[in-house]
Amino acid sequence: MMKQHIDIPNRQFDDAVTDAFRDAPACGAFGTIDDLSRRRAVNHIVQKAASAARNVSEVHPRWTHRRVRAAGAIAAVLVLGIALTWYLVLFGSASPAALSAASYFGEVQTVHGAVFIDDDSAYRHAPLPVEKPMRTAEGTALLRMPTGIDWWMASHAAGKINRLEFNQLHVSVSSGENWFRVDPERQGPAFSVLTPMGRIHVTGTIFVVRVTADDVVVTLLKGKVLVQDAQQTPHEVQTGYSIHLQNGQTVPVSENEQAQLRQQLATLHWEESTATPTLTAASSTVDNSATGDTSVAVSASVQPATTDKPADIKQLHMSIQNARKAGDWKKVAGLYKRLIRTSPAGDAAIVSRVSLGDVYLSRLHRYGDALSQYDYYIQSRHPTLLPEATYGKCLALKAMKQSAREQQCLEQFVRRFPGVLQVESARSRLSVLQAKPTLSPDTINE
Amino acid sequence: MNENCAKQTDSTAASKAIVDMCRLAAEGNVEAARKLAEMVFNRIHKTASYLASNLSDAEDLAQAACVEVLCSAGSFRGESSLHYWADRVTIQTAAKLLTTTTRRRKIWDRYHQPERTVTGSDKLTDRAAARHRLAALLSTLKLPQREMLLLCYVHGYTTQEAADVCGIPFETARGRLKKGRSKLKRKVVKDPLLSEWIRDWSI
Repeated sequence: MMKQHIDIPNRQFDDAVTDAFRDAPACGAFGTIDDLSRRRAVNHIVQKAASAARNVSEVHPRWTHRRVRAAGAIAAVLVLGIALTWYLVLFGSASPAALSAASYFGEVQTVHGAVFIDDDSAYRHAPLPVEKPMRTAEGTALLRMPTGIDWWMASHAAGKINRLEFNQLHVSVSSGENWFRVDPERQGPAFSVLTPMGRIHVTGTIFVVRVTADDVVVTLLKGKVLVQDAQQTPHEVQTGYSIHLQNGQTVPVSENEQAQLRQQLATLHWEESTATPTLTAASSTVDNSATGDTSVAVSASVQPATTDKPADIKQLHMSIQNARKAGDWKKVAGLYKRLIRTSPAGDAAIVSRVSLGDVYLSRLHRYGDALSQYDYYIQSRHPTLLPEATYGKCLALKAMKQSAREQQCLEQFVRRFPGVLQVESARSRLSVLQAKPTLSPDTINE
Repeated sequence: MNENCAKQTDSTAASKAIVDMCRLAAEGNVEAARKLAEMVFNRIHKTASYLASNLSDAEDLAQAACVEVLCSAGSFRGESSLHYWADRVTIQTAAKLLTTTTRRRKIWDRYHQPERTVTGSDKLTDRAAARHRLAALLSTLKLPQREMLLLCYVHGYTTQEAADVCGIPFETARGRLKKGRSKLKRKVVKDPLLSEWIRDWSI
């Protein structure tokens, strides 16, 4: 068979087959169609084509109406969906944007100090709510957002974390001195600061916003910002300049003020390159003869700044938060001690002593340890949490039933921090202590 | 294989009169439609008869293709010949129609209709008898290969033109043609009368 197959050349095969198929045009595979059949078929086809054309022309408008109706329905659904989404975004508290904002801002923590919301709730190491006016009292507060933004509120500053809207992150500043540090390489929504007299668009920079009754002053310490005043006029502010939003005037920062700002900046450790004095602690028990205070005190020496390991510290902070949520206070204390050991002279370690003192005092009831932690912080002269540490020391002394020392501590507290919230309770406690005779160890010995 | 058929293929652009006639037919002019149908009927009927496996399918296909030609006559712009355009329409209609009807009738035909066999004398004496046997063998091939062999052997298109008519790439068309010819040749070799006719055939 294969031989036979090969026997016929392709050329000959093609020509023969083509020749076989060559015939009259009317001749098909089933024979030739006669003329009558052809005419009949053509007539039938023409009629069928005409009726098909009629059907198409009749069907077409109805089909068009159906299409129009379907398109209208789809458009109506789309418009309703878009309108609903807009409504929820703008007015709904349970909108996806609001929820994302809530979850987003749920991570905002006070790293140092405390902020007060609704005049009586102190938020320290707690998630901050959005759209709630918050303020600092006598002390300061450092808020850290998870997207690489730090907000330091000086004493008697007020502001608000706004809801995340259209992928824009806003905070409002209503009074006082507020410092911002924005990581230039941060990921996340665009960040801007709203003031009563304009808006500040930020990319990555360090700047201060001072809000007073009749002016808002924005001072640039690093980078640059775009400031829009109330008339929406944009002003670009460079490093070393301040802008007064009341009149839109940009002025260079005086050397004296620059020095002050640099000094304050050094305490915040926002500029790693700046050599700032930090404290190296060496704990020892000293006898404070002036106050009769025998407790753990701190001798401090000034050394160049040591840089904390941000990743470790951040991880430790997260672990602390988790342990706090779980209510495992022993673990919290252990983690704080580990944090302090990680970088003893670092800013995070020093302020952690107050938090550790709080845990010892109110959770673990280890009053002596709490007292030593507060003392350590007070002796370090770190300014941020001084009112809290002093009041904590008073509470620790009260718990240890050392009335004389408690009284001294309270007097000192009332004298130094007359404007803080705890001062009223301190005064009432002080009046109680002053009313009854104290039974200090000294009087017992006598 | 296309040289002797090239003259049959009217691949040049159609005249303005034909385009006008198509336009009139599309607008509903019965006379123009009848003229157009008569012009393309033989060609379409022939194509359909080789594409379909039985007479009934061939008539249905020819009718459907003619109606399609008349309905879409308005889209004929005269850039190619009328027959070329009609072949394209027929091939497209056949692809739509035959794939569904063939699938539906496959089982029925297998059990209720005898295969398309041709009986005759011991020796093929004329071309019609050879064509009849070749058509029977052609109907056993797959539709894509059948299309290519039909366009090239029956209508005399070149491979490129056949590829354009079917709307497939040139290489695909060439592959189908090669495979179809090989299969057909194998079947022809098995048929002693046809193979003898082809061996004895001379121009």
